[in-house]
Amino acid sequence: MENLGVAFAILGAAFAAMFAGMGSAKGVGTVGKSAAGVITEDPGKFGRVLILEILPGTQGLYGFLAAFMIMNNITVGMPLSQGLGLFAASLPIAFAGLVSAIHQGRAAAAGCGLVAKRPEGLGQAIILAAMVETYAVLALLISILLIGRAV
Amino acid sequence: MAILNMKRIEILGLQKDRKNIIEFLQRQGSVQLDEMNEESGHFTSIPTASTVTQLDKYGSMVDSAVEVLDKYAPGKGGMLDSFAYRKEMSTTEFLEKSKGVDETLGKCKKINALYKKIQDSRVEIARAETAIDQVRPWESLDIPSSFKGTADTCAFIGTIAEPLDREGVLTKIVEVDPEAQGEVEIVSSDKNQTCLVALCHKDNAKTFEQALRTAGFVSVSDATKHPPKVRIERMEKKIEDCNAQIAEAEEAIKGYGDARDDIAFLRDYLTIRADKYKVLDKVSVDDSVFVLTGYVPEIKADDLKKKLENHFDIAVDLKDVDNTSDDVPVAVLNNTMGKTMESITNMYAFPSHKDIDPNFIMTIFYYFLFGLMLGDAGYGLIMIILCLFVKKKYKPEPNKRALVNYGLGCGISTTFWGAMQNSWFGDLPKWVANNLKSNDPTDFLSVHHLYWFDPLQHTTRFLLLCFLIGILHLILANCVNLYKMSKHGMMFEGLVETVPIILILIGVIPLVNSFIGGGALAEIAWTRPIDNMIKAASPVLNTMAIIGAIGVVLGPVIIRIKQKSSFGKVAAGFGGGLYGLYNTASGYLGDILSYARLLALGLCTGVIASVVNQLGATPGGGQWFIFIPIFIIGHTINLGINLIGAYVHTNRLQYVEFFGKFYEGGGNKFDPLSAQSQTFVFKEEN
Repeated sequence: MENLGVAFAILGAAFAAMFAGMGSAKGVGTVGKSAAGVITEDPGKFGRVLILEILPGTQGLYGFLAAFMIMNNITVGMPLSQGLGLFAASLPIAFAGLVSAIHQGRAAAAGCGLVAKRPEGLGQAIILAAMVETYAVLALLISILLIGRAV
Repeated sequence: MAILNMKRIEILGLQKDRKNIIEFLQRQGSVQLDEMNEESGHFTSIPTASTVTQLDKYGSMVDSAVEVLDKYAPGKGGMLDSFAYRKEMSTTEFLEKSKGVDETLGKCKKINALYKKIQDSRVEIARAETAIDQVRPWESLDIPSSFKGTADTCAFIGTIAEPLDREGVLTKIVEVDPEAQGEVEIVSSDKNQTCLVALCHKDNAKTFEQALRTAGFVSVSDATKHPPKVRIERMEKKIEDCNAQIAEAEEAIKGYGDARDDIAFLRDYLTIRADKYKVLDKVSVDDSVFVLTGYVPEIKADDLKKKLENHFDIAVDLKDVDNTSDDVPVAVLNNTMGKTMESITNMYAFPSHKDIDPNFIMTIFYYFLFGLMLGDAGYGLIMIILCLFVKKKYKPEPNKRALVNYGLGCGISTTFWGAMQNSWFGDLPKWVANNLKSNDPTDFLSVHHLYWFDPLQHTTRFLLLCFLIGILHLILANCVNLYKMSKHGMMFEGLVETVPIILILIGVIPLVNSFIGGGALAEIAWTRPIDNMIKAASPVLNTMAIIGAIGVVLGPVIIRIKQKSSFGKVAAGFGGGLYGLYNTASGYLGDILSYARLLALGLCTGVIASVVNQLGATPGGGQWFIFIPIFIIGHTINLGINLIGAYVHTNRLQYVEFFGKFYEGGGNKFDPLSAQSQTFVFKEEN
């Protein structure tokens, strides 16, 4: 039982990487499908849609980052309260990452449609999709600050 | 730096010079010609649409020839060759070279014909292969499939749609009709069908055939007079011939590889001519003269006028225009720094005459933010080296030079911020210092503390830095807005609108420092004075914030009083001001928080880079031969992903947080008649 703290902290790291990663996988996949459609018609747009496709991938990186920071803070025999704290700190990026990546994926997929019709609209398409990311950034921010507080 | 003023240009020339003058204007590339409104008075226009269509048709012919050449006789060029400087060509050289275009066009036609031959042969091969597949089960049959029997026998050649051997077939026949007598030979059998030859006596033929058919027998559909083996051989011969034809055609296409330069010139030639003919349509003509009108940038106007009058018998008139009107096209002129931002700004929206050209102003923060997001000195150095290499080797021309300079700027800033955070390919120096055995900070940089801070250890300080940068960025945006409004004669309104916000932004610094920064500046010795300064100034700064807030509320009231509005409207302005304060507070809070993405992306790059190093060093307990491939692959991927991430999010901060405060965009881009060529540029003419 004395390692329960460590176990919770590990669970937290796993949550952050897992859920945010799931969201990104789903999001990038959604854009990928649309992007492939655009490229079928016009292979020259590959570069543009690639930028859009990568957008929902950042949540996965954020989750990875939070997981890494939690891992760095795990110490052998840490008290349960600390472990629970680290676990709780992982939740914002885990879930905000999950949901925001999926929805960012949809916005970016719609952006692919925009770029297909108006290639010069890439800037607008990027902004519209990048707006969603703000909430993942904020969640990561809180996760990082909480990790700092938990130990 | 600035949006250029435009002038109207009106040209009256002799009919006989018409084409020459337009060609001259095209080479100069500084006049945007008007669409001809309607045929006014005795002027008419000469329709050129059919010529343009014809030229476009030739153009696509050349394009497909180039595609074919790329496939069969690829040029030597590498990925970076598109940066190469286009060679200069004088008008005489151009005319000289133009003489050869018919011959080149002929070559393109031949290339396309050869390619068609290859495609036809491919179809032929596919057809033959299908036919062979169909005949293959009959290969061992040594009589023609149309064989009907001898004088006394009847032969049936065909299939039953199930796998059977000789006994099986005979049993089936006898099951149907015990009277039916004959002999069966199996040619081949697989899981779908059995190919067989059945023989019987002529007298018995009807009964036998009846039984055979009831048992599921179907005669061959394509009976021929040659044995199947001969047919297969013929088809194989055909395939061989087709392959030989393809090889021959490919060789012939390769033979045209030398014509690549000529073809590229032809493509440009056709584009230039098509553009010219599109313009000829816009010219008003009568029997002896023609009229052209358009816009020309003021700085080029006089020079152009002089040149035109030197070359032709011509009347050129320049007129001033209202340079705030939306009808006037917009052109911007920037120095080297500002130029690098043009493509970024244009991706958002092209500036209009209501705007000030934001390109130069945004440069400093753009690179600053980009570097902070990518934030690894190793990656930055790679970018710098690559860009310098391209600059040195290809000496790119202005448009492409801007792109290379952009990469260079980002690279320098990335290197700077990476060094500040002690990130050189992540924690590579630490691994190297310990010969891959561990990443203890025993390397030179860490031991002598040759960096500012470690972002993972001092996350809050990093965050504070991000917010402070954000506040500065937003203050700059408001200053630009003030400048823009004052330029449009709205100095007073501008002051009322922006100064309170600037006061608030400066005023919240102590709050950010103590609340979100968590005393980050107080942690180390040499930032402590800054912290002390902020703390000492905080009463003043707080007062500034309060004055700013009051300013925001009273702003609409002041403006309405100045406009001498009625009391009711002034009172409503107060309500509007309160709402404005709420908007400002929530909007700017969101804006400042948005700069946290600098931290998020900055940390991502460094952490993933370090993980790559760890992945390389751990297996095998620190073997270089394992480490190096993992290092190369891992860092290439990390650099690729984070480059795009940094690019997108720097753009977002510029577009939403920065441009949102002052930039409108939506101008008509100045689109002069010019020689759109890929391979050469015209030499300056006097």
